[in-house]
Amino acid sequence: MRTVLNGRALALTLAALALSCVATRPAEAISRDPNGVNVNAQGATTVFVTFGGLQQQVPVEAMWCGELIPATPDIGFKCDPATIYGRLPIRFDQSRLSSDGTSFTDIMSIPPSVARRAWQAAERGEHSAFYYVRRFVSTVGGPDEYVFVTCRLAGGGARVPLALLDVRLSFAVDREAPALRQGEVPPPVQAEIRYNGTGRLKGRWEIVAPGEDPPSSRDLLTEATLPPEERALQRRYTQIERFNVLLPPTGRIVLPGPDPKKLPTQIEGLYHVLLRIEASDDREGDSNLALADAGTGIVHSGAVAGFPIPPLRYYVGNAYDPEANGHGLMLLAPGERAYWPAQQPLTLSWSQTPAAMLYRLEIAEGTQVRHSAILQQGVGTYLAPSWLTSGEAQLRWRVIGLGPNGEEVHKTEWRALNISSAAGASEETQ
Amino acid sequence: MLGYNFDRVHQFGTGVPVNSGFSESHVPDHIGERHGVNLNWQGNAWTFGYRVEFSEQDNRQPGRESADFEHRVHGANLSLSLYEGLDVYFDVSFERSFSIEAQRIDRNRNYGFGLSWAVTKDLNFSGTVALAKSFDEPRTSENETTNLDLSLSYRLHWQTGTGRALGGQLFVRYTDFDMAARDRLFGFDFDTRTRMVIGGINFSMQ
Repeated sequence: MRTVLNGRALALTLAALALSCVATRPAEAISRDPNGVNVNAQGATTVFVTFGGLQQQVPVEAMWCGELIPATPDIGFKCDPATIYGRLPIRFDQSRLSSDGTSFTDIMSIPPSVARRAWQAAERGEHSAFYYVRRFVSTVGGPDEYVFVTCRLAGGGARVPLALLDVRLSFAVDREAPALRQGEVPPPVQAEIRYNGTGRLKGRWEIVAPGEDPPSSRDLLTEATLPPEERALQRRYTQIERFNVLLPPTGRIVLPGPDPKKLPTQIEGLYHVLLRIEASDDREGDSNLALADAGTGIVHSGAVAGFPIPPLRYYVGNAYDPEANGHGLMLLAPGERAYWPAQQPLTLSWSQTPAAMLYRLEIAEGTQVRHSAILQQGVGTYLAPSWLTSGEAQLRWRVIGLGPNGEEVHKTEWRALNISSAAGASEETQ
Repeated sequence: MLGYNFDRVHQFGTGVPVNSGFSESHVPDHIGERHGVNLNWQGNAWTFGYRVEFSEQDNRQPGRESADFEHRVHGANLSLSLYEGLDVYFDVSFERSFSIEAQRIDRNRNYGFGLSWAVTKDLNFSGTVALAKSFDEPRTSENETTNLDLSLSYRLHWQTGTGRALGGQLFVRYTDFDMAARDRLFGFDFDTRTRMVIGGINFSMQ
């Protein structure tokens, strides 16, 4: 009898405990929008997601997985550890918690490796959709909360949010960082862009001039990657040109750069060309704040990107400035008004200048050039043909440095040279 | 030179995949069309360009039938070489995007002016002014920016007794950037003004 009572008491106690646990366990509070998206089955995908209704909770890691299991005793559904495809890399994590801590803007950048694993699972006959699960931790000791977004494997075209996957800015020449002369027109600029989805790509070409603070990595993000309250705070630079083009659902475009004549080259120093992408109205990338319990209104996030767009640099200096680089080009020997013995081999020498690609040596008698020779950079001597020293003559010579396009970048003054039958060895050294 | 280009892309799914979580609405059925006209005219001391583009995004999948957009972009530019060493350019563009589902029109207007003047062989002056205004027709958001940029540079060069040359440049630059951004939906109202004077001297020694 005693045992029965004890057993009943124990059962009642356990039931009361279980009820109290259920009664005190907080309900799921965090909402999100969108809660399901089409993603590229054959590559990367980036999606703007808003989480709202945070109550003294902060986001921690995010995972992708093929199956969900109840997170009990925590809240929501978490990844089945046996089906985890990957974790959001820190370098792609552009998420931002709002200042009041009640909403969270997440940029879900799915790496191609995760899409591949989901594709392989689908090939095996498993459910082809997979899940992005963000964990939130309570700052007051409550249970963790897991919130998931469904990712449906699709093509990378229409019905997938418009997102930039890779942007490469380059000059249309085979030079990574060209050095330009002051006033020289730079080569044309272009941006090769890979993307998902379809829609408008609009924005500005801007320039960071020497002396200005370079942009921060947040400034280099596309506008759609930022929460709405942060978009107007991105630093602006001098605008060169605007663009607004339609991206068809084909995944790749080469965007022509601004008119090269508008790129400044007056002030010497390092310039940065920036591609600033504005948020465009893309129905697939919309995030409804009301559905996410994060306020009202719809955030447009067309052209979201999970990475800062690297600037294109060029340098304006005196790489080919004859005034500044001519210091290296000087005639060495024979000296000014030297006497050289006739019938003796004549070697002319000069110093090198980094501005020259080639040298043209000219030997003249009076105003008539009797001999000239083109010599490579690095060769600072020349053995004159023997007929030049076959008899007495009053010669003069000079060296002209030629630039990459054959233009004269520097030339020395003429130097007199007397070929004399009577000249001795001592006079050669004058 | 007059150019016209047209492209049309129709992307659609042939059915709803099984075991995928897809509904009919998730399967794309989208038509994108674009018409573009470019006109470029060039004289000895001037160039003029005009471009216009019309494009349309037509979604046809269930639940997205009205999620369509129409876009129109007009742009013109004029460059003049007034005389040796003095070049100016003007450009202007108007953009209009119409969201049929939201019945909202977004507009963007841009005006730009630039000048480059080689006053002497060593003294250069350049300046740009850019005005941009964007807003939507219900006037829930507005954005206006003004940018003025002026720079003056002077080249220096000295020759030493040994024939070595030293190059350099003296410059001063003034930038005035003014931006006003308002969004009545999200309740943002930013006014930012930045004025900057940058001066410097560069030396080149090799």
